[in-house]
Amino acid sequence: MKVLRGIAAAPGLVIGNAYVIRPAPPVDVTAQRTVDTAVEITRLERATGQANARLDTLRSAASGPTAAMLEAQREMVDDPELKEGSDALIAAGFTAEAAITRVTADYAEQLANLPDAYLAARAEDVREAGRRIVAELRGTSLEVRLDRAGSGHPRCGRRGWYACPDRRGHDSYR
Amino acid sequence: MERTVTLGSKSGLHARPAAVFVQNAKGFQSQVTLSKNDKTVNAKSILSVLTLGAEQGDQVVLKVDGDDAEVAIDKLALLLEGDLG
Repeated sequence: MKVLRGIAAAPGLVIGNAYVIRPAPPVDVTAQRTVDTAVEITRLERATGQANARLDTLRSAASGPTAAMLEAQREMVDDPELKEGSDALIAAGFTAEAAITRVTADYAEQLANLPDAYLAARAEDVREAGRRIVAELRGTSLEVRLDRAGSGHPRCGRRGWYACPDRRGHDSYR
Repeated sequence: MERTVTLGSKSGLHARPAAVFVQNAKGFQSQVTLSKNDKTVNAKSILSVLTLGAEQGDQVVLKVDGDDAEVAIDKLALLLEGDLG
């Protein structure tokens, strides 16, 4: 039997199960709801702007097919229908993360169902545009610094953030 | 204004050509839509344009409505008929 000593918050004797509290594992964000519509719309606008700026920086350093891919990705992030659809879902009570994930998933599904194999494969690009915006909403980005890739978090050594006792800044270490 | 155009791009309206077309459409004030068969989408939205699944040789209908419609329809039709890169 393991004995753990803690600090008494109240006098008395209690018997029960002990739990270790850890940050929750990644959750499906598509059900997240909020009442603060205005805040979510502003968050989404800011995140989209940041994703665009990051893509511009990446594109200015790229050439050929990579530049073309980044250009298409930027158009997706900056898509007026994506914004309209997401704003409508936020107005219906969803968070920015939920809205953007739902709308991009919807477009991805439409593309995946096209007979043209190349276009069907673009479904993944659309999902990536969604993940890119969600990453910005969480204060991180999709890109991993090359010197950090695979090295793990400097404090906990883990590559995934969800089991880390200190999640701050973890997303850039994958 | 409305014009039926035959798609010239070898790869149809794939990601890169669609991005070029959409960027040009966004440069006009006019409302621009693109239709294939019975489906009509906002031509300033790459996601929507891609869902048309338009390929080389397909007939698409370009519809432009607004102050700069005349210039817009000429330029956008020319782009669709050409290679689009």
